[in-house]
Amino acid sequence: MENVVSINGISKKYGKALVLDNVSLEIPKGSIFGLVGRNGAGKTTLMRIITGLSEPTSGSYSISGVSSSNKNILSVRRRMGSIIESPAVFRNLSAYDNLKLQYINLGMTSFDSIPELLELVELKDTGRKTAGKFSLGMRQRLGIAVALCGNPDILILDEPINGLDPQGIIQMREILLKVNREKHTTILISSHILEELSKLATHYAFIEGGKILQTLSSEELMSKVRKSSRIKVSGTESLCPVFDREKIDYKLEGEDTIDIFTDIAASKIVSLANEAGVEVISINENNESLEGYFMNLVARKEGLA
Amino acid sequence: MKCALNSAFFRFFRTKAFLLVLIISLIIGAGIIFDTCTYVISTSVFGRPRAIANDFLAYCIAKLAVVIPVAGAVFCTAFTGSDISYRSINNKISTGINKVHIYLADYIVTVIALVMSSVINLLMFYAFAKFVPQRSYIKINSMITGLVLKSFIICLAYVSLYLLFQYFISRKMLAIIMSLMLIPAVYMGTFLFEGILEEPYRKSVKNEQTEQVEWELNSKYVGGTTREVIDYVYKSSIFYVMDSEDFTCDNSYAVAGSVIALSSALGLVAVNKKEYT
Repeated sequence: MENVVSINGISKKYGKALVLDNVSLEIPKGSIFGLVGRNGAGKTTLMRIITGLSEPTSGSYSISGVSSSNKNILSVRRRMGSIIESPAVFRNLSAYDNLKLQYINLGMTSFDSIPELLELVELKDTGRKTAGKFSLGMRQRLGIAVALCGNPDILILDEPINGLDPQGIIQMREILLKVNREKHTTILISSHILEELSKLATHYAFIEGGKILQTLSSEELMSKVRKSSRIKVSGTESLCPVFDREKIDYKLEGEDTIDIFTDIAASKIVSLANEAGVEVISINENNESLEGYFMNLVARKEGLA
Repeated sequence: MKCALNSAFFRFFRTKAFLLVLIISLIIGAGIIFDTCTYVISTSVFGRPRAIANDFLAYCIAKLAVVIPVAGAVFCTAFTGSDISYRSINNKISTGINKVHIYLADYIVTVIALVMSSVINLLMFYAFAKFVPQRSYIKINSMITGLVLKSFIICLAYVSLYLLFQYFISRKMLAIIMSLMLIPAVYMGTFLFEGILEEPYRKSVKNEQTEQVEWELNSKYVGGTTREVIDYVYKSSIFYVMDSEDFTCDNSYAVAGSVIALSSALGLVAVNKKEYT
C-alpha cells in the first residue's frame, strides 16, 4: 500500500526536554490512522510537525512523496486540512466567512462548495452569527469544515471530539467515515476516547514518552484484543477437525496452543477435546479492550525502563 | 504572497477592524481640531484672536503623529493579535502560506489602515481650516507636505514595532500594553535627553546683592560622539518638533527609517523562528 505520509527518525526537543525521540511512521493512503497516547506522549507535537507548525530538531518527513526539505512541501500542504488541539476559527466571523477565508488561504476563487460543507457539519442555519457565539461543539464542527475546505487528500485531526456531546461524537464519526469512504481522504487522528477511535481507525500507532511503541492494523489489533479463550492441549491435530465440524472460529498458536474466538463454554471445549481424545491442560480467557491493550503496552515499556 | 494579502484584506473588510479604523479616525480628528483650535484662538496677536492659518495645520499634523500611533496599536491588536490568539494564523501556515508573506501582508494592511485614518484626519483638518470664517492664510506648502511625510514615517516606525510585539510576544494583552507604553516612553525619553544635552555647567546666582555666581556641574552631561548621536535622536522626536516649533527638522526620517528597518528585520526573524501554539 502506498504511504501518503512517511516520518523518518524525527526528534523534537523543547529546551532540554526530548518530546519526540526518533519517531518513524508510515501512514498508508486512504487509511484512518489512529494515534494513541497519554497526555504529553508527543501526539500533538508530531501532528504540529507534519502540518508545518513546528520544525523537527532532527529527522525528516515526506508528504505525498515530497520531502520536508523540499520547497514544494508548501504547495503539498495545500492538499492537507487540520485541527490541532482546538479548532482555529476566527471568532469575529460567521461560519460562512470562516470557510471563505480558508478558501482564500488556499488560493481558491470559487466558493460554491461552502453551503455543501456547512450542511455536512450541520451549520447551514447559523446565518450571520459569529463563531464567537457558537457552542464548543459547533466550533468543533466548524473546525472540521475549515479542515475539509478544498477537498484535502490528508486530514490531521488532534483530539477532534474533545468537548463534544454523545450526539456530536456520533456526527463527527459519521462525517469522518463519509469523507474517508467517498473522497478517499487519509486521516491521521488522535483521541483520548479509545473506544471511539476503535470505531474509526484502520491503523494504529501507540506512542509513549515520545517513542512509537507499536504500529499495527485494526485487524491485527482486533485479533489481539477481541474476546478469546486460549487453550493448551496435549495435541492439536485431532482437535482441529472437531472444531471445524462444530464451526468454531479458532487460530493455531503453536503445537499445543489454540485461540478460540467463538463464545463457547469451557465445559463444551473440554467435552470436544475428550471426543478428539486430547487432554486439556489449561483454559485462559482473554477479554482485553483497546484501552487495556494500550495500558499493558505502556506498563511493559515502563517495566523495561 | 497573493494568498496572504487576499486573506488579510478579507479579514480587514469582513471583521470590525475597518469600522474601528473609521470610528477612531473621526474621534481623533475631531479631538485634534478642538484642542488645536482652543490653543490657536486663545492666543492673541495685537490684542485680537489669531486666525486659523498654516501653523494650525502644522500643529494638527504634528499632533496626529502623536495620536495616530495609538489607533495603530489598537488596530494591530484587533487585526494581528486576534489572528494569533484565535490561532487562525495556524490555518494559514498549515495551508502552506509562507510565514514571511503572512507578516508582510499584515504589515501592508496595517499601514493601509493607518494611511486611511491619516488621510481622513488630514482632510478633516484641511476642510476645517479652509472653511471656518476666521481663516486668513491656508496654503499647502513644502513645510506642510514635509510634516505630513514626517508624520507618516513616524507612524510607520510605530507600526513596525507594534507588529514586532504582536508576533514576538504573541500574547494580545501584553503586546497592546507594551505598544501603548511606547508613546509615553518616547515622550519621557525626549525630556531625559533634554537634560543630557544641557551645558556641562549651570550658572546659578548665589548672592543677588554681591552678584556672586556659582557654576554647578551637570551630572548628566555627555560629550563627544555620544552627545552628537543623542542630539540627533532628540531632534527626531515629534515632541521636540512640537515644542521647538521646528517643523522643518528632518532628523525623523533617518531615525524612524532605522527603527523600521531594524524592527522589520527582527519581526521577520521572529515570525520565521517562532512556533505559534
